[in-house]
Amino acid sequence: MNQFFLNRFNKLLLILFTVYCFNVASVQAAETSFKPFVKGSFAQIQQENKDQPYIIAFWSVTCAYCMKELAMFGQLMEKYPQVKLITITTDPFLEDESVQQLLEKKNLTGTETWVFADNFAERLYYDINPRWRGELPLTYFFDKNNVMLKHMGVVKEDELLEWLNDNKK
Amino acid sequence: MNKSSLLLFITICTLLVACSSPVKQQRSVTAEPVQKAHKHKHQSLANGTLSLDIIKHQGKLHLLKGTHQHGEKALWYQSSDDQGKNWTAAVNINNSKPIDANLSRGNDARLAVQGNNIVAIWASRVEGAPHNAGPMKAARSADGGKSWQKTAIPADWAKGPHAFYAMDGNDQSINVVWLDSRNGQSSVKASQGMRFSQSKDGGQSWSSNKTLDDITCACCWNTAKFDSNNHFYLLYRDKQPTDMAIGVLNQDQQWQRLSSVGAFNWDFPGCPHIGGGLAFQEDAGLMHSVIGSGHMEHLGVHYLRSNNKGKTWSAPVQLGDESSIHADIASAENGRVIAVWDMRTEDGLAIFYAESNDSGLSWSESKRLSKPGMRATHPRIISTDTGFLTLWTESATGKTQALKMQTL
Repeated sequence: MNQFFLNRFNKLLLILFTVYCFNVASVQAAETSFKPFVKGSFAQIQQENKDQPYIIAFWSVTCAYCMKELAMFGQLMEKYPQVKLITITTDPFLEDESVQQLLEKKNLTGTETWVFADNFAERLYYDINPRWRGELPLTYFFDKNNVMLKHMGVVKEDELLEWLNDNKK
Repeated sequence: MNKSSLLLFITICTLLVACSSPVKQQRSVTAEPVQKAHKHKHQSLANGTLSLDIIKHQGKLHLLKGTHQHGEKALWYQSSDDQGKNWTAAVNINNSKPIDANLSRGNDARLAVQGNNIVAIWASRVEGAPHNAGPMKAARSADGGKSWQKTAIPADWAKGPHAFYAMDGNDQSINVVWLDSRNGQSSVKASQGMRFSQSKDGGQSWSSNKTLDDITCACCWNTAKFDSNNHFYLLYRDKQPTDMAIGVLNQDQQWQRLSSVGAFNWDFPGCPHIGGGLAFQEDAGLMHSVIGSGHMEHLGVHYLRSNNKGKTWSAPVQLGDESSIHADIASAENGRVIAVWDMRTEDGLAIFYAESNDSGLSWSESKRLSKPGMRATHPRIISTDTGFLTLWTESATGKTQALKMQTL
């Protein structure tokens, strides 16, 4: 009888443990926090990614053409896993939930994403490029040789494909 | 309890304790610890003044402020009979009820006056819509701004959002322009159509909409003004290229695109969020304009003038440096012209002005208007009977934004 209760107790603990761990994992996933983009972050991103081809796409929820560009990235990037995409929203302190929803819509869930963390966005514009005044979309391409190409305005799909194909490993 | 059960129990308890500990995410080191690596739970919308419009009509100044306080937005009307020295008590144009509005500098709520009638127009907010942007809303006052009622909107299409309103009024009518995509997505990226409507009864009813330009920049503010001959001039950002353009509606509502204002051939498939300002010095037959450009060889704000009603323009004169963005201009009949703009400083953007006393032929050095320590943007300026009044919004921290005024 005693052994019977011990076995039941062990099973109960196991179930509780499993449920608890699942909950913790779920909460962590739901609370995905994007990286705060501050002065110096642009240089940091370049330093961290210098050994691979990558794209940095700046966007805002008020920029309709950024949305189209993100959708294009969402369609194309999964075919080019060798190239990393990093997105940065210029809307200061945009809520995680809004960012998450938008990335999901654009098929970009899991993409490394940063959020402007300065209420005065122009300070960050300047840190990225002293001549940038906030026009969007803005996209930086860093090829496999770490050569940077800046593109102001919407990226054309054929040009993006050409660059992606050139940077296949 | 046997040994194996005891061991299992201890293991599980240890794991549970471990799992219960706060999860500290490893974050890459930032180059400058300006902000903590936090979740973004800040209120991104500042309290205070988010939207601003000012006009002079028959010697009286009319001010429309859009405000946000702790989650509630409102529009407030005030007027001044003494060139901005004193203002009437602010009147809430929605009977003190909060409004669902998208209020922001550069896409401000607007007002216009016809006689004793005043009309205000703003962008509604629709949660879940792209950019949470909805159709325009309108309110009118028939008693000089003492009381306000909802009224018909100028747009005869409201299946999508409208934005970037510009309006002006005179004794005959109130004219309104705005951007929308009623004809579907244009083949030209980052474009919308410029629509027009007119009211001859102080905003009670509006004419069928007319498209002035089917392909304009989708995200830049427009500026519209009547001259004394009832010609309605519109300064807006064009497409292909993205330079500013000016056109006019004559008394018969015939539209004519006149010219580019700052023909830099800037072709930008995106969202510049930069417009311009327009002023008339009619006795001298002059138009004055300031426009912003993102062309890499013409970055910044430029002044131009026209002596043939906008058909051609003088060579551009750069105001400030290439970080200048949002600008406005006003002129007096005595040849005094003042341009205001915001420009990057160590505090972020700050307000500057320059002055001409010879109808725009020569300009003073730039002088700073906003105080150090403040981030100040989107200045407006009007000429008054005694000088000029300039207004802007500013903030020290980004949490609250205040309206500032200064006479010049």
